[in-house]
Amino acid sequence: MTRVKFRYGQAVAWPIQEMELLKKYLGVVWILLGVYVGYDRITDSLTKIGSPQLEDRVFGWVVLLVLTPIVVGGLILFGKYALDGEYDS
Amino acid sequence: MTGSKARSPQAVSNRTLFSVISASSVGTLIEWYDFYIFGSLAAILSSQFFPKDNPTAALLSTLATFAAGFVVRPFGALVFGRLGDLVGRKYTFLVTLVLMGGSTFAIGLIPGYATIGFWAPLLVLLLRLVQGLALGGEYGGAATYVAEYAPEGRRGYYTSFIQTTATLGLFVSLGVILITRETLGVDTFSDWGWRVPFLLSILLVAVSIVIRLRMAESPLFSKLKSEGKVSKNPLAESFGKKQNLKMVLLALFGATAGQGVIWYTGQFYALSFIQKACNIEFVQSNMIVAIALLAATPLFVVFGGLSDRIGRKSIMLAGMLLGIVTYRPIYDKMYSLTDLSKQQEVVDARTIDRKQVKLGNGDTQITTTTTHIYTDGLIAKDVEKTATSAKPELTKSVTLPDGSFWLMVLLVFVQVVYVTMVYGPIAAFLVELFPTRIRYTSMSLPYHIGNGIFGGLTPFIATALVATATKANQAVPGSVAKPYLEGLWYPILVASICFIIGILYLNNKKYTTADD
Repeated sequence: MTRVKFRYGQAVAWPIQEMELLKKYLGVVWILLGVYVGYDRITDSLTKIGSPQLEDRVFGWVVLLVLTPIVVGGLILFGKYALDGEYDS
Repeated sequence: MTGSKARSPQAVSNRTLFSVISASSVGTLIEWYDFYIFGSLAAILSSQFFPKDNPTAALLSTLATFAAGFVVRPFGALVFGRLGDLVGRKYTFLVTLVLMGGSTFAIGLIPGYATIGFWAPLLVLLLRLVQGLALGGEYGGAATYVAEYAPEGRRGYYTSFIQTTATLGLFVSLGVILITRETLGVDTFSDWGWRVPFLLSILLVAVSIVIRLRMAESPLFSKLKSEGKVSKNPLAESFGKKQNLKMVLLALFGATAGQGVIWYTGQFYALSFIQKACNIEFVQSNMIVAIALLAATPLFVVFGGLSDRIGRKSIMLAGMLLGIVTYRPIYDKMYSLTDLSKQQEVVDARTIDRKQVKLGNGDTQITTTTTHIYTDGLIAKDVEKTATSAKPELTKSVTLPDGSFWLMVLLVFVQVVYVTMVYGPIAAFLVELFPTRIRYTSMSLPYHIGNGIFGGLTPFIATALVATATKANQAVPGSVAKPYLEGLWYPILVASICFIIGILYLNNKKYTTADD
């Protein structure tokens, strides 16, 4: 017989085992999201860097050199940790 | 209260605790005030220091906007966070206060571009960078300092006073600017009066430094120091070890990124939307935001205190969810209040006023002001300036009647309530996520990436999205139903991802760190 435990404080009380599996497998989603955001931001910021408007060019460089590495690197690493079960309760 | 003898937080009296909160909050409020007056006076500073016809000055202006607001803040978090974990919280956030106050005061003293040329924008940029660095170091120190004095189970309540400072700093900056402008008159204010809010900073900072100097080091840090357990290398411990780095990432993607976009949307984007999309005139638009900020500020303490009882996660995520669901209807309503296509003009009441002024270059400038009055009392003004040597310039402004004014205040107030929900408990949340020995470093970075980068870029990304939608509409009419709402997709998307990560991965219970 399987015992179903419920976590304190969850908005929806899910069985712990299913919850941990979901958190783990969603790691793939965060990694893919990181890759997609990287592709999207790089192409967009390259367009901005080529703009005749100075403000657009600086904004493009900020997105390319600051925002994109944080989002991409952060999401991929976060996804990897989730996949490794680092966020299991 | 003196001395650095270690003591437990439980032993701290309420009087001491409120002295600690006052000393920390006043200093942090002044830092936010210093940071915001630069942004609020951007247009005047631009004309004084960054003439648009000079490409180098224009580049420095853009760098001052982006670099100081977004890029430098996380660096400040690293530099001062490390210092705070090595030498202590008290001395570190004294340094940040001196740097912030000094650089703000100095901006008020710099002669304009017309007097010292290229040096003027360069000095402003450098001082703005110092402001960004100082701000990056201040918040983590203040939040950590108060939290380490606060008794167990009451951190949410006590740190929420620190959380009011960012909003109050914005309120005070708007208030000082409005009062100075109204007292001196628009022309004098544009000429030299704008320096007053900057120069005033030195008095505020001096008072705050005196108060802070009288405070002792935080009891938890003192205990750590007396036991010889202070971290040797806080940066390596914070970001080089998986056990801590995974919590930094969780704090960023499960809380601070979403909090940052909700914070910037509810306060800065709201103001920008009211001024640029709704064209509400300067004083009235600032009044709307100032009243909403003031009315909602006590809720930071309410939600901070509530988070001690029902958990940080549920309140922060509820604030994000409300923003995600209601931003579009709220902004649609804000826009409709000033949508002249839906108003009926009293044509007989229309007035046209023409003025002719001789310019310095011998040219004549004609200013034509057309005033439209609508049946509900709304007043719209079109001001067109023409001169033979310059392109015609048309500015539109709207003044709301009382009913619409208060409805607009309510709509901004609702957004600031969301801000108080996500922001009120977050200091306690971040403090509890990390151990004392590396707390200053570890909590400062996700906070400033979330707020400075994810949040700080909100107005720029949102404006870019609106511009793209407007262009698409011009190419294919009707392709985007309401282009003025397109900018909201950025905060909605970031808050949605953060909400999902938060609801799945964050624990609603208090995180207990190893050495507390």
